[in-house]
Amino acid sequence: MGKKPSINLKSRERLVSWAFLAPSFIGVMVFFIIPFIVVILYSFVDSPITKDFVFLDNYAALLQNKSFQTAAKNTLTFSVIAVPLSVLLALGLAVLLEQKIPLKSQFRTFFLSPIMVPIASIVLIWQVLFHQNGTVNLFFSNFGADGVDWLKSDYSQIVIVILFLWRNLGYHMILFMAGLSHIPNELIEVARIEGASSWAIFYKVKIRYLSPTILFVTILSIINSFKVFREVYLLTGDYPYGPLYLLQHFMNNMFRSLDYQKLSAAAVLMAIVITALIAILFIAENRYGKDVEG
Amino acid sequence: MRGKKRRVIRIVLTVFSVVFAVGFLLPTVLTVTNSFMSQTEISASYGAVFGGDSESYISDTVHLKLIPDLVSLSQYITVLFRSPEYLLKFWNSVILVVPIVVFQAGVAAFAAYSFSRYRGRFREILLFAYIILMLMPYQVTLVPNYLMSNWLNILDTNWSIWLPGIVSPFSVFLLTKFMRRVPVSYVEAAKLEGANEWQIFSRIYLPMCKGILYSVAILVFLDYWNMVEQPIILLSDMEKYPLSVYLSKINSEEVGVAFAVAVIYMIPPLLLFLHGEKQLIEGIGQSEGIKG
Amino acid sequence: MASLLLKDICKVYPGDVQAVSDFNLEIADREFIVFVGPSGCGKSTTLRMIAGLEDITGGELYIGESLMNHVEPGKRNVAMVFQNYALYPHLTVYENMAFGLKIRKVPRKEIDTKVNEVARTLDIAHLLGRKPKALSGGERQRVALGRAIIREPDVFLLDEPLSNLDAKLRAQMRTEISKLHQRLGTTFVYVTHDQVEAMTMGNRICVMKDGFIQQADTPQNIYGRPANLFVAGFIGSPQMNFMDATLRKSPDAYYLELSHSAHARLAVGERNSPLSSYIDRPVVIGVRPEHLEIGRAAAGSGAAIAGTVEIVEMMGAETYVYVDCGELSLRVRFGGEAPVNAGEQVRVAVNESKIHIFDPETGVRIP
Repeated sequence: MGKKPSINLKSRERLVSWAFLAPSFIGVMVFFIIPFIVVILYSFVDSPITKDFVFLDNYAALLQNKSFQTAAKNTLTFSVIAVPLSVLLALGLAVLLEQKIPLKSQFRTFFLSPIMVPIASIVLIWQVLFHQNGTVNLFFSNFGADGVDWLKSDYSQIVIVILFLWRNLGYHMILFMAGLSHIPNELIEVARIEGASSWAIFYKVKIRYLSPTILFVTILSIINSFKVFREVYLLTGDYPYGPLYLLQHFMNNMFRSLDYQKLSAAAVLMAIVITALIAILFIAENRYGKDVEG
Repeated sequence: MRGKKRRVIRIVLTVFSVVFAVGFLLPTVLTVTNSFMSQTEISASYGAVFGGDSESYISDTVHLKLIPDLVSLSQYITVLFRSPEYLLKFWNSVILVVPIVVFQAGVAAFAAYSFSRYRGRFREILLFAYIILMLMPYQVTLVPNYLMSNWLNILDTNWSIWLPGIVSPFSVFLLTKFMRRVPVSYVEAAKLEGANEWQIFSRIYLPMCKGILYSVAILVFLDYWNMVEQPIILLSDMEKYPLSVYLSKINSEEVGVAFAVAVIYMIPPLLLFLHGEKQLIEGIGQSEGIKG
Repeated sequence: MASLLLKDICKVYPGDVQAVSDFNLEIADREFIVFVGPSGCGKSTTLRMIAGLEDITGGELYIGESLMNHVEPGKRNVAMVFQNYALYPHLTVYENMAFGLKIRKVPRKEIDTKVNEVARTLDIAHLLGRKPKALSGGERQRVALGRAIIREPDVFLLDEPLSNLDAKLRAQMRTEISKLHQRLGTTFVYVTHDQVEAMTMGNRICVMKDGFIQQADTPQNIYGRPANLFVAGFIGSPQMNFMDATLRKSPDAYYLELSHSAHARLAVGERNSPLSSYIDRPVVIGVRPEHLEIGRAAAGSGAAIAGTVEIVEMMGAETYVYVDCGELSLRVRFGGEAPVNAGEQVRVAVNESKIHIFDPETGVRIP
């Protein structure tokens, strides 16, 4: 007769598959999910030690904190400027590389090259460019304009935006190129046969098909725009001038003073904002790009 | 007539591309060429920005030079032989980044396999949580990391950076996307031939994922080679800092060395990039789109 | 080498989707049996249950003497050829074939001998170093067969292996698979939706629809005595002609009165009792195209139906003629050329001894 199995076939398989998942799952729970729940709890209490429930007091204190307000405003401003620019310019570059120009793959490499240069390595040149006595000012002085200490001025964000774009455009461009390559050729051919101009094809056909990619690149840009702290820190150190004081700087200060209440509240607040942002983008993409999903 | 118009457009676009390419390449190239300057020349050219030796000549404006007047290896000699503390920081970077790359890829490969073989309710929710987690900036994730590191008593040790890095969901997401595209008939064929889950994983899925694993490794490497937020918060001893942070703490006298160190620091990612560019581009292309 | 027994096998998917029901079949050792039916009839599902790739919801599966319901696919000693071949893309042909043996820890030398032997048999020895993507469809098919053969399984399962090939290759591979079966002597279970493959390859055919077995029998019986309307219509190309009629009894014989404008009467002579319960009741008649004859419109016997020729399809060795008889469309088969042209008025005569009669409600054959 046949063998009698100790456990059902399917359930033994499932057990093994959980084993595969375990290291990642345990790690994520231990280092992210469980402590984050603690963080949420901390944001509602007076201090980790006394644990008096204070509800939304921490959040109120946070929102009224001047440093936080500055940091939030700066971070937001930066993202609002940098993200659309990076999406549009990257799309432009991708389209550029689609045209009939020579040496396409070399250009692609060149555009992508900034991604592999460590920020720390490139910071020096940037300082030379934008210092009070730096090259950019030298350039402007040729036209009789006075130089500005860029990193210590109200225009400091411009420097960082340029740096951000320099680093990230290549990567975003590749994403758009991948998106463009996924557009079924037949559609474009049909449009062409029906006499549509290149511009029309671009707007009506390509953009619609690109909408998931646009969504993805936008989200990625937003994420990367928060990472821009790295560039700022390496350029200006712990205490940057005004517009460069970002949320991460604020967080660092809170870490230093071990202000757990503000720390937790800020983290939770940011998490909510990011999640909401992503949700909005997803819904927008769903509405607009639904029919081209395939 | 149209042919001519096309040619003009072509030329214009090419010019554009060249201009952009130059713009993209210039900072890198400058860093490299400037590393071959002697100390005096650096002081002379950049003293206006960084301050220089009180003895050397400083021009009142900065001269950004593409090619040094005098090509010299003196900075490299200094770094390699006379002031090895920079190399120690380089080594710190290596020690921090390499285990993360290797083990994150490994843990992620296992997890991705699990995600791609089964699609239960729980798994989908977990995957979704991974995606959200992956999109959270350091401002959000450092706080729980810090708390847990504190609790586990690993603050100010490399573990506080290794462990969260190893379990980061980024690679899991990319690898899952790829693995889910493997047709299930391969698994069925292998099962019929008597393979167990481990064998299906190691002999079928892993070899098929070589390309994507490589590009994931490169992406992870590039991200962590630049890490700044974590060391500042989680490590208090500056001696343990990786070069990605330490390099910025040059004082004015060491500008010259800084260029050389910057170039040395650039070499590993550069090599990876040159070797794996094709895979990298393919991998980035694969990751396009969060849905599906 | 083994026989199979499927006893009351059924498969229910979550959401109460009944894919296979009441499946009872005994497959003899060395038999070549074909599961055939339209998409969604459950044939692939049943095959996969035999393989162990799907859980068996109810019933028992025996391979040889052993109950296999809960045995892992790898331990059932069955081999399967998939529709898309499922050749491991990163392995060479040699490695693809060796894979199963390697897993079972067969020594290197033995693997080598076996692979070369099988490769020679299937004429793919010159492809051993290549990867699947460098092979043509037919070559991949043979590698898939090779991979299955090499383990010397008890049962061979083939899931629509020819559907990805072009017509010519398909015809060629049909004979090769049949020859393979003769040479190996292993039990073959073959799934297809193509009734030509079913008729030409199997010792027996199992026709399925909506998860149920409609009829399991030799090709001749399935063709000559279809058990119900569905089998009758599914097997045979061009399709069997169906006509509504009423059974009447006259003093000396039964006869059928065709309901359509055709107004013909077909004598069916004495038949056994099952027919008697249908007197004065509607039935469905089935006649194969080759059992109809066309004659010029003339004063005719009662057993002919009048109509106009619509289309004449010349196949070369035979001709199909489509006749429009008012409410009926008849398909007639001629050997060689047909002596009629489109638009002609003709009379279609029915070979009364070759009529099949079915119950109009259940579709079941009335013997």
